[in-house]
Amino acid sequence: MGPWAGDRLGSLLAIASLFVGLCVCQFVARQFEGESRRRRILAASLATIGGVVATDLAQSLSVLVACWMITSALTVTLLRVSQVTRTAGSSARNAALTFVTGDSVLLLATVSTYALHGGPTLTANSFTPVHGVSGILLLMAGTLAAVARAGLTVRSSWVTATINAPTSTSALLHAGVVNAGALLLWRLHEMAGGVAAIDAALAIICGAVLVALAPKIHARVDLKGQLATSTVSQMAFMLLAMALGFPVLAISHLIGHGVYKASRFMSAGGAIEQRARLRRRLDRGRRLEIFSRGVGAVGLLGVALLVGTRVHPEGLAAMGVFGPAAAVVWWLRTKSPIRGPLVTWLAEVAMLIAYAWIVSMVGQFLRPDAVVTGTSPWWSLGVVTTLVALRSVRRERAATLKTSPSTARALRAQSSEDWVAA
Amino acid sequence: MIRQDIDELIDESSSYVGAMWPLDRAVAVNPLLDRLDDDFANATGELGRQLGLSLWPARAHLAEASRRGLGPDVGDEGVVDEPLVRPGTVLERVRGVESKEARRARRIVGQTLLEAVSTKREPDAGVVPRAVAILEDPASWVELPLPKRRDIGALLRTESLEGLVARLKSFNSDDVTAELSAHFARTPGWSAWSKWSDLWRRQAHPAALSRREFLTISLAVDLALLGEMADVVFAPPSRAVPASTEAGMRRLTLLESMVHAPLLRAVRTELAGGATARWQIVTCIDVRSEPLRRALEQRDDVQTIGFAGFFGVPATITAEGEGEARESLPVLLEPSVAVRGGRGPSDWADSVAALSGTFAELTHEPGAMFALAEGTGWFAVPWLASRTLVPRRKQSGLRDAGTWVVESRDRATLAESALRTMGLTTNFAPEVVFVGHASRSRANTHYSTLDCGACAGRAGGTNAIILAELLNDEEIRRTLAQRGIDIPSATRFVAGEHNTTTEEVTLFAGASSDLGRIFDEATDAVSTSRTGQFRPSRSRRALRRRASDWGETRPEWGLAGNAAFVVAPRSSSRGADLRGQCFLHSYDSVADVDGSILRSILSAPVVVAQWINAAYYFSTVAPDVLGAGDKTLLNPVGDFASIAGDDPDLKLGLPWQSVADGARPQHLPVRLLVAVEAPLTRTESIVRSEPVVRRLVEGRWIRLVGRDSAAGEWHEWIAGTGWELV
Repeated sequence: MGPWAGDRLGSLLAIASLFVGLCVCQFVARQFEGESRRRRILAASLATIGGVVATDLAQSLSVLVACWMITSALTVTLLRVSQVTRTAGSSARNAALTFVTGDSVLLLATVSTYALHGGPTLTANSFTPVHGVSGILLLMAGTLAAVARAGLTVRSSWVTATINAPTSTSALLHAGVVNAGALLLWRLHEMAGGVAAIDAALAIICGAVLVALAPKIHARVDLKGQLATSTVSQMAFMLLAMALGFPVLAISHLIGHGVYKASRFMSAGGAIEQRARLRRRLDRGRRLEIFSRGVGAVGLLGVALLVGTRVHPEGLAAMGVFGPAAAVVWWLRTKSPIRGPLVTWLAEVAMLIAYAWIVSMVGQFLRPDAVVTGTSPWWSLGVVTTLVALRSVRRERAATLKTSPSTARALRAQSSEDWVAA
Repeated sequence: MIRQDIDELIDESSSYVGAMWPLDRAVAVNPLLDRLDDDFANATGELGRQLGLSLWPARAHLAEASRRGLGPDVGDEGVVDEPLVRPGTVLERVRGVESKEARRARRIVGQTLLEAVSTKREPDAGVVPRAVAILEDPASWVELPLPKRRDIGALLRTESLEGLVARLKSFNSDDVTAELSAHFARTPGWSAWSKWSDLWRRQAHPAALSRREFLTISLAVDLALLGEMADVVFAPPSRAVPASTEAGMRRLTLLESMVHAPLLRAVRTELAGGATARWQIVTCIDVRSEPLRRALEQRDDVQTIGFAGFFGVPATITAEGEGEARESLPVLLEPSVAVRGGRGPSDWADSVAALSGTFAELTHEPGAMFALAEGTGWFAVPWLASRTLVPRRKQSGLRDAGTWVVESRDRATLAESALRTMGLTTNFAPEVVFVGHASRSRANTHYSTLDCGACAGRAGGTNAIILAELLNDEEIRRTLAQRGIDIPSATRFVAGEHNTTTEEVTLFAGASSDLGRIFDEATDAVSTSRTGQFRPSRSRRALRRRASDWGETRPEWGLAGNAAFVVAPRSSSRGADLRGQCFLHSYDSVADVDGSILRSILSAPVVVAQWINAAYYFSTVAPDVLGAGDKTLLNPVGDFASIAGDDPDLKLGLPWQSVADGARPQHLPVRLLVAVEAPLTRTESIVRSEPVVRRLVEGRWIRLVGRDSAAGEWHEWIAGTGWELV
């Protein structure tokens, strides 16, 4: 087996990265048609995709780390060549600083591992284990590099700064680059095994970022800002799944989120038209929206319960098909004004069930021999999700009610036409 | 200082601020619309001074005109692009306009407004209390440490705008005006939004922001950040006039002479055609209708007429299935007709809309976003592939528009007025078609700027349908006959909508099949001309692809290139290739006995066209400040605006991609040339007696040329002098 080969994990991720990357490149070709910058952005995008795919397929530690670092450099290059404004330049600098921090530690750990153990070969099913201090150092360094790549900070994350680059660059980086930490940790876990303390530290960092970011996602009112902040949050969720010992969930998250985020960024320009159309069409009051959100959340919990009790995948698949079918039939037969939200809810539940099925299928693909034991990931991640949701609700209330009634009255007066100067 | 004084100062200081309409109904606006009493050169020079920009055509524009063969490249005309610096707000003057603190203050103002305005639930809720709550919230994303934010919040709690202004010790009212102007100039997008909210908003808008609120927050940020300098006597802003104005006007005049001359030469002789018309096709005066009209007129039995695209129906339209009435008329007019009906969205479309709306909400609901994002991601694979690799859209064709009910007390007068203004009172063809226009693009923040400006940034098909329905009404026809407009019983009025992106025309129910074929041929001719493809099917596919592709930043050129407004019988320009640069309003001076029609054309459609022309002018000369900048960076905020990346000022104007093709300017910034074919004395009388026309002409906001008849010579109106032979 050479330095690159397609084990199941690598092949799956490489196919996903290529698919998203080529869609983004087609987008780049259209977006910059006739412009001088088209060639250099396209070249940098293709090179970055190449780096990502090479990382996916790497089958030795040295190649993996080399590809990882090259991808970091290419990412900075892509941000640099996409630069339109001065702010975009600072985004590239921000990314470079973050990557240098994470990647240099990873490089040092790799060099020390080689010095102590020779050249371990990294494959999916047969690899040279790295025990002892070297393994711990490697895992610590990999965790730091993954955290840096995912931009897991509450403020000034390089990931959120990417919105200063053109849409295509944001789409590519959010879909294919920021999430590579899950792969790195998977590979390093295979080599070094799990170290409870490091996993616990990672879980704490991810949990803290998730909880801290929850209100900020709501606070962002610009679409790309929301998407970028949510990427950081999603990366925290993904790495949390790794830390809690659910790597299959993390990998399925990596792929699903990548496609989702690429499509959201690329369709961002249409948000105004879409929102305006919705506003005109759905003049049915916020009650239905709240109702819909409520049942959506209940639906999520329902899925957690369903998967928690380990419903057979085929059963879940059937529900994924029959759920929407039942919803469509119901919608065709009724003229009730709540059909929209109800259809939404049913579709959501069906989608979540189907999603759980996808996770199990990905698991079967990646680890066909694995026997599912222990607590379902949905329970622990469900708790985190609920905490995040509660935190978000609390913040929204705080922003509204913080001022006392008398102060609020006085402040309102400043904006009202009745105001009279003292 | 009392409130009334401050209100006057706000009016004065914001007079160099344009209004920014919400992006879902954007219209092109002259940013200097409150300065029409001034001379164009002075107003532009002063706006440039306030913004720290040169607002004159660049050297590249002259070079481009020369490259197009419009004249020789005569070199530079003096220093126009001198480096300018904004006078700056109080903080900017103390710390330096380009200092880190000044940049931070600008971001804080923008971020606070962005969150406060966008998260308001009630349209009438105050922005200032919301801003205080946000600034004092530890979770806010305003980039300032919490203690500093609390300082700003404390200032906002205790001081009104008057109180804040009073802290500018030793400032007289001129200084205060200059200071407030500097705040408006610091964040032009928010300023323009506050101006629209205050002066142009006719309906409640949840994101409304008054100019008072804007200034209160902007000034409070400056003063709070200068807190330790509270006792310093601040110097008032500079009001030095830039030296480049005269040179800029020279360059502009030179460019105009290159652009306008060929157009005037083209509108030269009276050509026959359309005398025995079987079809009369009334299109919008929009410059994009001109190539279509030229293609239609390849047939002798087709006569085209240019008329404002709202077809004289100043309506608020409530379409079936929509809970919100939409205005469909020039924003300068008040709606006088309510229209309801149409064929609403299908149940399927309604449910898909409900689904996508709730989905969009849930994707950033922390309770559901994690599973939803990745769950939908897997299902989005075919969607992403099809949208990117094989973008497709449905073709146009015959469409049932449903039934519309016009709620107006005098529907006959509405119909009569429309016919008289478009000069269509006799010689009706058997089939008369009103063709509104609309655009189709995907993932385009500025989609509404490509729709009909005369319909307040909406599609114009509905107005066309309404007028056709009115004129097909037997009772209305009888009334019109009593008023001297005898419509033959064999004449049918039908409506259509020209998709300016694909050049296809959708005809609504009642149109004959021959008509469909005529439009098909015209579409083939225009689309092959636009794409340079020889085969019509290929060119149609290419244009449809542009309309459907979410990566496309230039689905069409919109009104780029607009340079002239011709008020004349179509026979004066029939057959001339005006390259989509002219608004063409049909006008027959013989039929307009008292000049009232010319008066209404010059005081309404010409004003709208001037706004459009000015919006393109300023978006071209200052693409990042008075234009929306690079489209690839645009970041939607709610359904009303966009910002660039994470820069928190709203973007106003048109994107750079709308005025440049990537390598060269597409739009050449010139003032609108208004060419009127009517007795010069009549035109002069209107210029002298109609205030809005006088301001435009005497202030040199437009160039006015006229000739008595098609055989006459063009004369230009020179301010303070009168007519001079061109």
